[in-house]
Amino acid sequence: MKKTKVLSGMLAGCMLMSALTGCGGGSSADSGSTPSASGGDAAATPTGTVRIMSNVTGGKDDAEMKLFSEALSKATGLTIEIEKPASDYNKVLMQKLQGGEEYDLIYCGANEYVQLIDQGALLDITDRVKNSEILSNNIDPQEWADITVDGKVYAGFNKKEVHRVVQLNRQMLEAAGIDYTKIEPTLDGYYKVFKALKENNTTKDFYPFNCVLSESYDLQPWFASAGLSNGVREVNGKKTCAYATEEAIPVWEWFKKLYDEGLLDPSSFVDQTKDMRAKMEASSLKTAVCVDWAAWLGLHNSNALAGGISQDQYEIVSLPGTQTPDGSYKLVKGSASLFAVPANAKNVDGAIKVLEYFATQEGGELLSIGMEGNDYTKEGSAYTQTETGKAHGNDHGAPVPIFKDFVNPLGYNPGVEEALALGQYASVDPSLADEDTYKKTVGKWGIKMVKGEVSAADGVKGLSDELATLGFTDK
Amino acid sequence: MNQPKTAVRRRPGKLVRALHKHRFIYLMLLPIAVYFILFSYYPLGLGIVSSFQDVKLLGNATFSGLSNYRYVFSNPQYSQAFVNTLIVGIGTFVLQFVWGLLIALLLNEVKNKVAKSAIQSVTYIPYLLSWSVVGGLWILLFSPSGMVNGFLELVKGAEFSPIVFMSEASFARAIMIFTGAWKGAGYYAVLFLAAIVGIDPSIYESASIDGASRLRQIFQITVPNIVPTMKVVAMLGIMGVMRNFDQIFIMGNASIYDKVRNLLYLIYTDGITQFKIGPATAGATLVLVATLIISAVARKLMRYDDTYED
Repeated sequence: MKKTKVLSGMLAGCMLMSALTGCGGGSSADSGSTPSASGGDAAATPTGTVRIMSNVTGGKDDAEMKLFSEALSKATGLTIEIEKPASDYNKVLMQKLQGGEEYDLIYCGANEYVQLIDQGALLDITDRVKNSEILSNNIDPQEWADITVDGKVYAGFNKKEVHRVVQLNRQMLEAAGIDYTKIEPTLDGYYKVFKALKENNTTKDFYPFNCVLSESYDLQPWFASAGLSNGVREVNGKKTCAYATEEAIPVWEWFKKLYDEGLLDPSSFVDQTKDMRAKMEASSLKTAVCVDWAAWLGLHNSNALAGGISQDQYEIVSLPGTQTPDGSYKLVKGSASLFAVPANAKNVDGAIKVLEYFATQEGGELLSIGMEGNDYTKEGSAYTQTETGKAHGNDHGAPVPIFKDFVNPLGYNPGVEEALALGQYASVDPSLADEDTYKKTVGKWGIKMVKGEVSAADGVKGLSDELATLGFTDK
Repeated sequence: MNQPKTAVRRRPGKLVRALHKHRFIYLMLLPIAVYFILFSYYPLGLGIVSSFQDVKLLGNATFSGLSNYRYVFSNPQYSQAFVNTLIVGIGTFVLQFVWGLLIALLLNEVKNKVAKSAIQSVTYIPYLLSWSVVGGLWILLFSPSGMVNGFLELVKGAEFSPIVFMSEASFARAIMIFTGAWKGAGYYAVLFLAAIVGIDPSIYESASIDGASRLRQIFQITVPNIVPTMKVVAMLGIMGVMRNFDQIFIMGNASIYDKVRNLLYLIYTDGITQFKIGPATAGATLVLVATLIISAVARKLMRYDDTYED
């Protein structure tokens, strides 16, 4: 009976441990045997197979993935094999790498990039990047600076990250007698806008402003009014979160005022970005102002047009938010979307060739507007988008490709160019290995302050203390 | 004079004889044993080994002693998660148990077969649905424009301002316990009902003849007769107290994580999203040990073994 007791207890834990053991004890790859990172024979044309583990890049289904691989193979002269897990990308990537699978390129975001470097799982390709004319010249040097870790680069780019802008429903503003180009770029100016919107709209559940408070990205255009920047930054040699300082108090109090007066959607405390987007859509109109990626503004507009709603009836426009004390603006640029070279990659030359292709006009077209014959047709220099292409919204991994002089032959979605022009005010947050916990901590204290559970003064202190305890900031 | 040695053949041991006698049964059990060894106990062993290693995604793992366990014990999020795990886990189990029992006892009183089947199906269906569906449903019901706020507005009048239930830390654990129990109560009810219908009807007949009321019959016949089933259900439930992940993953959010984030969720974020495999396996090993201890204590307190040894 004792044996039964022990075994039954062990069984209870087996399921749990099994989920992690794919991760445990794996030891197959020897990073010491990886190919030279310094560049090999620059004159030789890379050949062979390049295995890519992709998350978002490629076709929309299996048949399209095949077309995408074929197009990439044809363009690079390599045999491209792409694996794109249907879900749980991180989990699959971890298990594959642990299991000894060898890829030449793996997709990762900026946070995973830092973690993978920390794990010794990536190959230093700094010299290869420097030796490549395409990678050096076709990409803005700031992009490389943003992904340089301790002087080394371990990845190339999937796409150019855009920034989050304040998005406004033009028709709702006009109905309230507001010209969006004349909105006063202060907290008080926007408060008046929200007030007018609310008074002009009696729809139940309509709130003029929605903001995913748990996502600290959404807060930047408002904290700019106090000259504060998003994320953890070094100030006087100390890691600091500006939102947890005394200077942030007036902005938190402004949010509280919006909430108290029914101008901020109370669902902002629990909404996810997808919920906020749904409320901005032409089919919903439950909110009039939010902060979201520039590309999403174009999608709202193009979806409305596709649904037969003209731009006189529904149009989302963009603004940079509140002005900083020195008369500028602050917006958050998305952290990098990358293809990194794993430490056990077999065809590093081929991987670099693919990264180079992604940084050209042709590569950018493949990653944005898709495959010729499938997403668009071409006669001479004239491109015509197919119905399939329209449904794909100019996105096959990179709505805005990394090539600095990229010209979208089909043009951007309505409103995107205006929003992209605000990119001059955008900067990338410094990467954090555990960004998720950081965001949730800021979100938690932010919500407490906005709901009035704690005063803004106590809230910033609580936030500051917790971030320090968790090791994100210095005391 | 030396006696001639006689060859004495030792009789095989009791175990060997038993194995030989039932060799075909054991042979049939072999594939199942191999399956469990390969897919349950081998990974379990690897996981425990990993908890003592510095595991990298690529390259050899190195022995790191107790450093992963030190990380877990020194991390305040883990101690908080442990408390949350126990409160939400035990709360859900107790409510689900009582709720399931209540449904079964009440269902047993329903004489109309169609109504009985319908109620049974309605209460059982949530158990079949994934947490993505059930969690999304409750988030919607508790939203400022959801049914719960709608009902409160109806009661309190137009001046009522909606409560964002899912962002209220004071409601968080209660909501997790309630929704968890709501999802599983139907399953427990099926188990209890199966035991109830197995009770000899003549006992009820005798009790009726002796003038026992229906309520008395429930408490003095039905409930005592399903105690063994209750013990099994309780043991299964207690063993699962620390295994709740999906619900918190789906229904948790920044404003309530302090109250509901549990050990499995932390293990997931450490292991899967941050690739910290060593600390994650250490956390998982501790969950395993805690489950063993809780199960052993519960077994002792319930005199679980006595039920089956009698």
